[in-house]
Parts: sequence; C-alpha cells; structure tokens
Amino acid sequence: MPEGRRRWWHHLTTQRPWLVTLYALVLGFVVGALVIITTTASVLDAWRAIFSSWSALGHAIKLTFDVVGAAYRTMFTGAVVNPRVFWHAVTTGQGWTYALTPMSETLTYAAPLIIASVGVGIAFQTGIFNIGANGQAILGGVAGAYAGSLIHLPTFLHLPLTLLAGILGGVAVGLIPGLLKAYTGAHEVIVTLMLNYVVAALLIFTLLSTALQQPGQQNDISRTIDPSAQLAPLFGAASGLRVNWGLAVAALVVVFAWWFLERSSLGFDFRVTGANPQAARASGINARAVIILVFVISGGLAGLAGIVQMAGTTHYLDGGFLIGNAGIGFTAITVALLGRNRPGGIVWSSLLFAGLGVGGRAMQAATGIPLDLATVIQSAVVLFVATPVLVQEIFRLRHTEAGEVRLATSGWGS
Amino acid sequence: MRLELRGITKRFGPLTANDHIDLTVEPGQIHCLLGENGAGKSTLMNVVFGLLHPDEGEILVDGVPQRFANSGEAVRKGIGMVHQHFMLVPVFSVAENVVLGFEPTRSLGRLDRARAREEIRRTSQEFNLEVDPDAIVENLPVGLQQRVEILKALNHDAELLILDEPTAVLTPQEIDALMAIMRSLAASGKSILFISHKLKEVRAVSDVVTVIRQGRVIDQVPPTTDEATLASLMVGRDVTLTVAKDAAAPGEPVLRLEDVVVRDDRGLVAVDHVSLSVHAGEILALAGVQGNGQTELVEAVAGMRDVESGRITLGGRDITNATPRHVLDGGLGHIPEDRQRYGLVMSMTLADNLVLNTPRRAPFAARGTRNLGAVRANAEDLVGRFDIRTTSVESPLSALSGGNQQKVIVARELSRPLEVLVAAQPTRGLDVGSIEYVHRQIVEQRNEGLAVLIVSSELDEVMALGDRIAVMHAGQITGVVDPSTSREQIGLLMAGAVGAADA
Amino acid sequence: MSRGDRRGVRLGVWLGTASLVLGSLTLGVGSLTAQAAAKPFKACVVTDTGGINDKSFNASAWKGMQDAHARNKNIVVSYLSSTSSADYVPNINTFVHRGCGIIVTVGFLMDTATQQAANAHPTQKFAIVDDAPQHLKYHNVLALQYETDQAAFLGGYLAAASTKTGVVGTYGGMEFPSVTMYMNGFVAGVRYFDKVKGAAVKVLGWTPAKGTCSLASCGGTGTFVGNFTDQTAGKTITANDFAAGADIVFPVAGSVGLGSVAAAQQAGKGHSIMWVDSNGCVSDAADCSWFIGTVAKGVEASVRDAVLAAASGKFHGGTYLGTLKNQGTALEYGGIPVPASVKSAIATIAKGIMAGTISVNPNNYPAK
Repeated sequence: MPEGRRRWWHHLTTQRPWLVTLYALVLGFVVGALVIITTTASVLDAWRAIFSSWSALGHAIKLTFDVVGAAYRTMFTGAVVNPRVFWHAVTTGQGWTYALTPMSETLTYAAPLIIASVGVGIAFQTGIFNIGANGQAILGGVAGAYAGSLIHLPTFLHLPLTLLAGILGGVAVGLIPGLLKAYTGAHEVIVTLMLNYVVAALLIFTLLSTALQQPGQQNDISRTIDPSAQLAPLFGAASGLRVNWGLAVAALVVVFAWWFLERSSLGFDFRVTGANPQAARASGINARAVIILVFVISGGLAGLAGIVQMAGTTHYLDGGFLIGNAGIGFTAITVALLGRNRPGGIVWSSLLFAGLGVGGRAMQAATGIPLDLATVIQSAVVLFVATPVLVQEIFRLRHTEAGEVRLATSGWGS
Repeated sequence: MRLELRGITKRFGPLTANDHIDLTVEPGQIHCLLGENGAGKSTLMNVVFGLLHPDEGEILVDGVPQRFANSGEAVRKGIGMVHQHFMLVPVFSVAENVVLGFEPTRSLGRLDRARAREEIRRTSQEFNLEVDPDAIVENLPVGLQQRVEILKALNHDAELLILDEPTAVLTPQEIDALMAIMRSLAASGKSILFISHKLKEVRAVSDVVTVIRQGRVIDQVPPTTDEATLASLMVGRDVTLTVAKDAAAPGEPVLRLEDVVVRDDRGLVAVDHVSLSVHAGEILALAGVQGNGQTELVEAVAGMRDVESGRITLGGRDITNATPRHVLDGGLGHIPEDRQRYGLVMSMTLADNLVLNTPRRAPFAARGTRNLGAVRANAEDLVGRFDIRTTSVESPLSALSGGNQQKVIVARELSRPLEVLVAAQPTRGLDVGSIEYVHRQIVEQRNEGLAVLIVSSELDEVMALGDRIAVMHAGQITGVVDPSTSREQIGLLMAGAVGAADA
Repeated sequence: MSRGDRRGVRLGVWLGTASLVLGSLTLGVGSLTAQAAAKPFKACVVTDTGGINDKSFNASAWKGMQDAHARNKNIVVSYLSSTSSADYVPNINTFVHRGCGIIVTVGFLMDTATQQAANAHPTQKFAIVDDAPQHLKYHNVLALQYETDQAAFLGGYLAAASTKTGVVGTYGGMEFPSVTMYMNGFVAGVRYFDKVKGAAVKVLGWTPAKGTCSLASCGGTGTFVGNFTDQTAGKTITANDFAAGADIVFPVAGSVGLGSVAAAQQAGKGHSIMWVDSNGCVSDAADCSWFIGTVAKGVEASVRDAVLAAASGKFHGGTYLGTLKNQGTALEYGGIPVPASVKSAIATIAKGIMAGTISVNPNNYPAK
C-alpha cells in the first residue's frame, strides 16, 4: 500500500475517541434501519414471500432499500437541506424560506440544547452529576416568563433582564443541591433528580394560581412575554425562519465555556477537582467553594437554556413546558456524554440530536414512520458511545498507545 | 516449570516496550529481572501472564509453545502472579480470598468453608507460609497480605511465580521473611521470576540476574556481581550510590510542632503529643515502621488533617488547622506519600501538573485567565532542569513512568519559593537513577538553607540523608539521634524502646 | 489471512453496509415521486403531546380522519405528533409545505400556533378541536366546539333517575372550562329531575356559580384531581363519594376515571360510573358492565365532517358548535340496563333541549 493510504488505513482502524463516536453513529443508523425493517409490514411481507419463491428476493431487497432510503432521505432533507428545493430557490430566487427552513429548525432546537448541555458538561468535568438540569431549566423559563410578561421595558433593558431572570431561576434550583452537597455531603444525583419533580409541580402551580396565568384563561397557560423580551428571529420576522437570537446566545455560551474550561483559573480548579478530588484538596483548592460554584454555573446555564427555549420559540409557557420527551435538561445529559463534555463536542452532538428530532418529524410526515425512530437512533448512538469496547470489537479497532478509550464519565462516586 | 521466552516483542504505537526479549527460567530457579522503571519489566510480565499479547515471539512452557488469550489460561498452565498492588478483597477472610474464583462448594453452590480452610492450612504448612485463614484481609499488615497473594497463587497450583516489585511495600523485617519464603519455594521446585530494581535484594536472593534497559536484554549476570556494576548496567552509566553531603549548618527553627495530637480516620490517636522542630539548612529524617503516625503527622502539617491539640508554626506564623492553600502559600513544599492520589492528576498534562498548586501565581495567570504560554515555558524549563523524560510537556501525566512522575512533584515543589520541604517517602518505587537524583536535589536545597523534613521507612535513606534522625513509634517520638547511631540502636527505637538512645 | 487483513475485511463489510444505507437515500427519490400522479386530497392532523394513541381527543381526531378516508378514498391522511409546545409551529408549517388540503390541530394549547399559521397562510384550511381562536384575519379556520352540557344534562337526569340512594357525585381533572361544562350540565340534569319528579337527589363535587356557563368561562366550586393521569386519586375521591352515600359517580378527568371504575368494583354491585368523552363500552369494553352511560363529545364525527367538507370544496370557516342536534355531543347508554320509561323521558328532554324549551343552566332550577 502507498504510504499515504496506509496512514489513512491506520487512522481508520486505530481506536481513538472521535473515531469511536463516528462508528457509533454509523451503528446507530444501522440499528434504526433494522427497526424500520422489522416494524414496516410491507417490508416484512416481502421478506416472508421469499420462503415461497426465491425470485421474490430481489423485490424484498429493493423494497427494503426503498423504505429505509426514503426514511433516511426525508430525515436528511427535513433536517439539513433538500437539494431539489434548494436548487429551485437558487435558480428562481423564489422559495428561500422553504429551502432554509430545515436548517433553521435544526438550529432553533439546537440552541437551548447546546446551552443546557454545556452546563451539564461543565459539571461532569468537575465530577458532579447534575441530573437536575431539567428542573433548573423549567424554573429558568418560569422566572423569565415573569420578567418578560409582567415587567415592561424597552428591548435593550427588557431582553437582558429576561435572560438574567432565567439564569437566576436556574441558579436558585441549582443552589439547593450545591449547598446540600457542600455542607452536608448529600449526594447530588438524588437531590437534583428529586428536585425535578418539585419544579414540575411548581410550574403547574405558577400557571394556574399566580399572576403568570394568561388573563381570561382557566387553562394552564402563561401570559405571552412582551415582544421586547423575545429573542427575535435572526433574519427578521418577515423571513419566516424561526432561528432566533438564541443561537447567538448559545454561541456566546460555547465561547465562554471553552475559555472557562481551557483558559480560566477557576476552570482549572474545576477540572482538577473532577479528575482527582484528593489532589485538588492537597493543592489548596477549596472543594466546598468549587461544588457551590459548579452548581451556580451549571444551574445558571440550564436556566438560560430554559428561557432561550421559551423566549425564542413559543413566547409563553404551558403545563407541558420541558416535560416528558421535551425535557431538554435530560437530553442534555446524553448530549454532553456524546460530546465528551467538551464545548466543541457538545455543539456537534446537539446539532445531531436536534437534527434527528427535526428530521424525524419530516420523516413521519412523509413516510408515516413514527418520530420515535429518531429517539431509537439517538439512544443507540449513545449506547455505542458509552460502550467503546463493543464498537472496538465490531470494527476490530487496534488499541492506542494510551490503552483504553475512557468513558466520558467515569463513575458515580461523590 | 521451565519457562522460555523467545524474541518477545511488544509495541504500543511508535513505542517498543519489549524488543526481542529472550529469557529462560529453569525449574527451581529464582530469576531476577532487573531494570529501571519504564524499562519494560511490567509489560513483559503482563505478556507472560496473558494480560497482553506479544506482537512477535513465543512463550514456551516446558518446551511447548503457548498462546494465552487471557490470564485465566496462564493460571491454568501453572503461572501465578503477585501484583505490586494486591488483588485482594479487603473485607473477605484470608480463606475466602485464597479460594476466590476456584471455590470448593457443597450442594447448591454453598461455599465449603471447612474445606477451604483445610486446603489453606495444608498449603501454608507445605511452604512454611504461616497465616490465619480466618483473619480479615484488611486487618492484616502489608507483609501478610502479600503472603496471602502468594498462597492464592500456590493454591491454584502455580509452578512459576511472578513477583512484581514485591518488596516495595515491606518493612526490612518483612523483606527478610519474604526472601526466606522465596528460597523455600525454589527449594521445593517452584520457579520464581522476581522483578526488582533494588540491588541489595537482587543480590541477596536470586540465582540469575537478567538486566533489561529500554526494552532490551542488556546482559545476564550472576548475583555475585557488585552493586556498582549492576547499577551501571541498569542505568546505562556510572551511578553514585551514597549521598555526598557536607556537615549541616543549621539556622533558626522554621517548622515547629508543639505537643501536637492528631487522630486518624478511625478516630484513634495517631500522633500522640509530638514536638519537633526543623531548622533552616538541615534535614530532619523521621524514621519508623509505616503506620506509626507519620502519615497523619505530615497530613496535619500540610493542612489536610485536623489538629486536635497543640500548635504548628511555620516561620513563626501559626498554621495549626490552616487550609492547605494557606499552608502552601506560607512556603511549605509537600511531596506526598501517595503521589498519584494527592500529588498529581494523571489525566492532565505534564505542564498543568507542574503548576497544580500555583495556578494563579504570576506569570501563570492574570485576572482569572491562565497564561498557557508561561505554563508551557515553565514546563519546558523544569523538564530540562530536573531531567524529566517525556515526549512532550503536553503529554498526559499517565504516559510518564513512575520515576518521572515523582520528578514532576519534586520539580514543582522545589521550583517555587519555599521555607520548608516536607517529603514523605520521596523515593518509594523509584529506580536507582531517580533515587540518586532526588537525593541530590534535596541535599542541594538544604545546602541553600531550606529546612527539610524527610519521612521514610527505608532505613538506608534515613541514615544517608538525615542530619538528625527522629524515630517514631505508636504516634510518639521515641528518640532523636545522630545519623552516626548504629542501625541496631535505631531499630530498637523503631520497635518502641523509648529513650534507648537518649544518652 | 493475517490479522490485519481480517480486520480490514470486517471494517469493509460495515462501511459497505453503511454506504448502502446512505446510498439508498438517493435510490428512494425516484420511487416516491413516481406515485404522486393521482392528485389525492391530503388531510393532516397535528396532535398534541399525547400522540395518536392517547385514547382521548388526539386518538379521536385521528379516528375521524380515518373515517373520512373510509368514506372518500381520495383522501390521504397523515399525522405529526408534538413532543412540546415548541413543535406546534414547525409541525403545522411542515404540513403547509406538504400541500395539505386541511390541517386539523387538537386542543387549546395549539390555539396561538394555529392562529398564527392561519393568518400567515390565508388559503390554507384549518380545523381546531375544542378551541376557538379569537384573532383571526381570514375565514380559513373552523373551530370545533362542543356544548357538552347538553348531553351532560341528559346524563344528570339518567343518574338521578337511576340512583337508589338519592345521592350522585362528580369530579374533574383540572378546573378548565371544557371540564366544568360537563359538570355544570350534569348538575342541571339532576336538578331538573328533582323539579319535575319532586325528588331530592343530591350532587356531590360541583356547585355551579351564578350566571351562565360558556366555553370561555364556566365557574363554580368542586372537586378536582389536579391532573389527568392520577388514577389513584380518582379512586380515592370516588370511594369517598360512595362512603358519603352516592352510588353513581361521573368523573370528568380522562383516564383518571379508570380509578373510579376500580372504586366501583371494590364497592360492589349497585355502584356505577358515568363515563365521559368517548363511549366507555368501546374504549374500555372490559368494564362495560360498570357503566350506566357515557356523556360523549363528538370529536370523531366533527373532524370527519370537516375533512369531508374540505375535500368536496364545501369548507366554511367559523365555528362548528357540537350540540345534541348535530350529534356533536350525545348521551350513550352503557352496560347497565335502563328502563324504557326513563329512556323515553330522556328522548323527550333531548327534543326539548334541541328546541330550546328546556334550559341547561342549573341556576334555572332550585338547588336541593
């Protein structure tokens, strides 16, 4: 083999973190394809037919590829771009909104996810499991909704105030496990997990029993926040694209997180604490202060994610805000894991998750395959990323010098 | 058993850890594998034990080529390994640990304790390895725990025993006992592959010595070879084995402990009304068998353990129960006993580890932002000055050998302004070359007026380095003596004979 | 074969599979576009977070769509489920772009999103279940609303006529107008029975406020679970009602009502449940013998009719009001036999309500 190709081959067959992630992605889509095949009646029937006649094999294979292909094709065109529509827009100058909608939607969903995941990732890097990001995000949304709808100010004051209220809402929820862990040693996983339920109940209470409830409504729905508190569409309301200034907020958060983890002294303390708490203590790092600050930062970012989600899309809250499958605070845990807790990795994994969700809807609309397939693929990818040994065995990867690819999170000890 | 290695080669990426190693262990032979840390000894043993697969070469057991897919297969072929860090379940009894994985059972899979106990009694009598089968492992001293590991291997019918740095954790008495066991095992026909870098022990116990350096077999020599020759074979150059130092010129006391009482993790008094003072320009060596309160004493000084009563001062300032940050900023350098746990962050880079306890000090950071250029420059400088072997200052610390990791701590602590250096077991697990280096650094600092407190359970080290020697037993100082005091005298103090050498 | 070669083959196989999957993306293009020739009428529904299997309005709306397809094979139906309120807008837009002839949305939570889309796309037809947007620019939205108090009135009369103890009960999921309207009508039916029969049947769980009850506001005080999921709470409330002397309970709380069924089974024969929304003997056939009847909301029929009308070009925006008259709400009998005399009395009352001669406002009848 020529030297250049040999080197590439070596790259592709040697185990390293990004490669494992890439192969996990491939495996995730393979699993998704298997799910489509085994749940689509027409495909199954075609395969059953080969027992009576071998000539049906060709048809079965073709049908399988047609169905799987249509699903993934619509997923792609629904989440990124439809080349046909895009070309039409380029040649005629018409229909740009339609052509750019898929990308706009993916970015719209990715923005709050990036923010929440960065918060979770920073905590993970410090060895803290913030399972309560969702509750923190919900209260961020609630606090932001109060500031956005019950206070009236010009935009340059109102929007920052609303975002700040969101951050403080998240901090308020985050401080509870932070203080409890710092001063009593209470395990943050349990406290944060349970607080999610408390906050979910608090959301309903604020929507039904406080001034936040939409006037004239008896349903669990909030006032709409003032236009001056909303994250406006990035390309103006006339563009018809939902992607909004929340994306800029997310970009700032990523830059901040990168600086914080890689360049700041406090971030250094965080990383040392996460990698070796005993050494951190021996080196003079105040463990208590670090724990509290982690929750302030992680909770604040989760709260910001909550308000960005609300101020960028619906502009109001309802009883289902970030509940169940919509809980970005829970998704953020897997996204952070997939992104190896680093800001750059989180951007990519957030785009992937957002894209799968958005593309999944397009797929459902076009092919009738349930949106849940996107969740199956997401879960499979995370599963494969979390078990590098499996990926390594399937692809027969060589060990690297350092030996093993480590899990992004190494344990649940406190 | 006759174990033969032919051309064993193991590569990790661009690094060749073992380069065509040939080696034969005859039945009944104690074969020593001598080499520095990082020479490839552990890799070779992991290959023999089936934990790693060689890229080239073959392993023959009694003339038959073998391929071990895992360590279980190696065990079935009669190879036993006693790891440097014991693989025992601390809360299980000796008997339970020994039979673990090969439990004699009664019906329905119930553990047959009586039979397990009996098996162990038989094995331990056969090889003269006395240990109580019902004792709980975590309550046993380290020497006995190691004995349990050996028993475990023998119980699995090992014909060849691999002992990986077995003396690193033992007291002098325990080392003697271990050597007696090794000899009796060899006499009964077992083969022993003994890995070490301690010349005295190697010469005392082995039949044949194979020296490896940088992954290659350098030479095979008889154990009668003198220490200096062995050392130079191992390190690749001439080595000084004694510490050259002038008489101390002690100045003012810098670190003072007055009537200090400290409790251990279980709440028992570990440091019992200890008073000590360390003067500028002198090395005070704290001797004693491990577990007599030295660890707790050092932790109390470093601000990591509460002082129940008494007073600690550093350069006249009270640092009793101060935070580690306060103590470090006050000019205390600390080389912790468990360096991987308290001194280093293995996943972070060499450069970051070199500023681990001074990340905010100029020029490493300003206004909350780190100056990575300065951090890197500092690392490049220290790597050169302290001879730290690494491919890059951005390598994760885990890629460095144990000796080089210790150099990182030494470099970090000695490169910042200090008033006193507290070094606990500063050369534990290091090879000759590194020990020599660390000792020289410490003496140099003392010559420049630093107050140094050395805690060591190696009597050689204590006697070579100390300007004064304090001996600790059961939490109390049993005597402070001159280094010219005889070994026997100090041994008595270590055993608790208070005042034996006060005269 | 050497180790390295085998590794290569394994990798090759996987990469090959992956590229086939990706490659088929392009293969699929031709096959799908080929069948778009017949110009079918696309009917599309955006469901709420419950999805099409929620055994409630989302499921009913989807069933209505399928019924429309059954009557007119040229209608092609599809759905999109939402995971959160942030999905409403893109889901509706997706269907707008796919050229749906009519887009059906479900529930008051989709009010804003539906209204925005309708105002942005004047020619796109919409129908929204159980809600009426207030700020529409064009007549392109059909609001499907249901005056359920009419059928609940009949339910109340049936309960009052059937009780042996002289006490009946009701409770709601949450205090929404769409919920309390049922309870209000139920109380009115009981009071009407007391008035015409000179009886004194009492209702537990709802006291209507003064004034009239509408879909915008229907006030009063009563018993509520606080959600639509906690069946244990439903069981507790119902058991309390039974302990207070009631023998028939009317839960207006979706699946929480299954807790009431459990309570009736525990209390034994002589206790029964009045089901709500969609016929209990169909959605929960196993428990049919515990149902005296169902106060049904005609979501299926109204969605079906809206779709059929749109497909045949007869769609008109505005409000569809489900009443007894157009079967947008109805009383359906359950597994417990009801005397013919009661049934005929109820049929007569129904005619009176349709004719406007019998009021369903409980405040027009004296409270007992």
